Amino acid sequence: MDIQVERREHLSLIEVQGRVDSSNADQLGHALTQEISNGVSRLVLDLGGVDYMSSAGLRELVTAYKRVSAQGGLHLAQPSERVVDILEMAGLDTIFKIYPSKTDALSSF
Amino acid sequence: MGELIVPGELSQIPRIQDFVRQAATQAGLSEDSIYHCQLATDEACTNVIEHGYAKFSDRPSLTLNTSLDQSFFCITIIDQGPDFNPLTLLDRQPTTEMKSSGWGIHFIRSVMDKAEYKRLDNHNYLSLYKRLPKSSR
Repeated sequence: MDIQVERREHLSLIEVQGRVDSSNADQLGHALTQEISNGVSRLVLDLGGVDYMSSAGLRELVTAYKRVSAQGGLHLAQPSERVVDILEMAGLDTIFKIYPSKTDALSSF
Repeated sequence: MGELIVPGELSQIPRIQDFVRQAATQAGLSEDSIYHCQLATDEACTNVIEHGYAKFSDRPSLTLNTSLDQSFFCITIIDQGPDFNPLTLLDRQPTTEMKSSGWGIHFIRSVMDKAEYKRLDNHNYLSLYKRLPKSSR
């Protein structure tokens, strides 16, 4: 898994590539936590390069979402069909704001 | 079909995934079914490592066996943790509540066609089944 973080004026864009499972989900959690700890409450998570996510990845998303939802939010960009399936199975597709492109997600704040 | 024995550590999940992919491909499963087998095995093994093996200072190994019968491709996960049948856990249906755990068994039930558990010789045996396509039977 590769994670790139780009700090912008009012938000952070976190781009993830690869598979997110229990062997590496803590790295995603660390990246999200670091941005939140630095005072960023508007997060865009670009999942366009993620072809696999298990419940370990979902746990990290939910933990971050809970920390920022009051002041900002965690918006998801271009998740693959399989990641959308996982979100639906967990009942999270109605909770997270999901956008078809990175541009849409970035302009949503 | 095959057997894999790995240390009971989360770092082994990618190796387990590769083993499952190879066996499921050999069994003739579709890409979606292979993905389902990988997800269910990942969730089951993660559950053993995070919970079943939590109290071990030296983590025991995990054994995975794959097999075929006329109708199903089967992955059996054998662990040395305490007697625990994950299939007795209440299935967590999709919910609007924002809880951050407990999806594993729900995912296993959602993506696999059948699951069985037995306790034998101080080991837990969890078997996960995916129906074979007609062309592979």
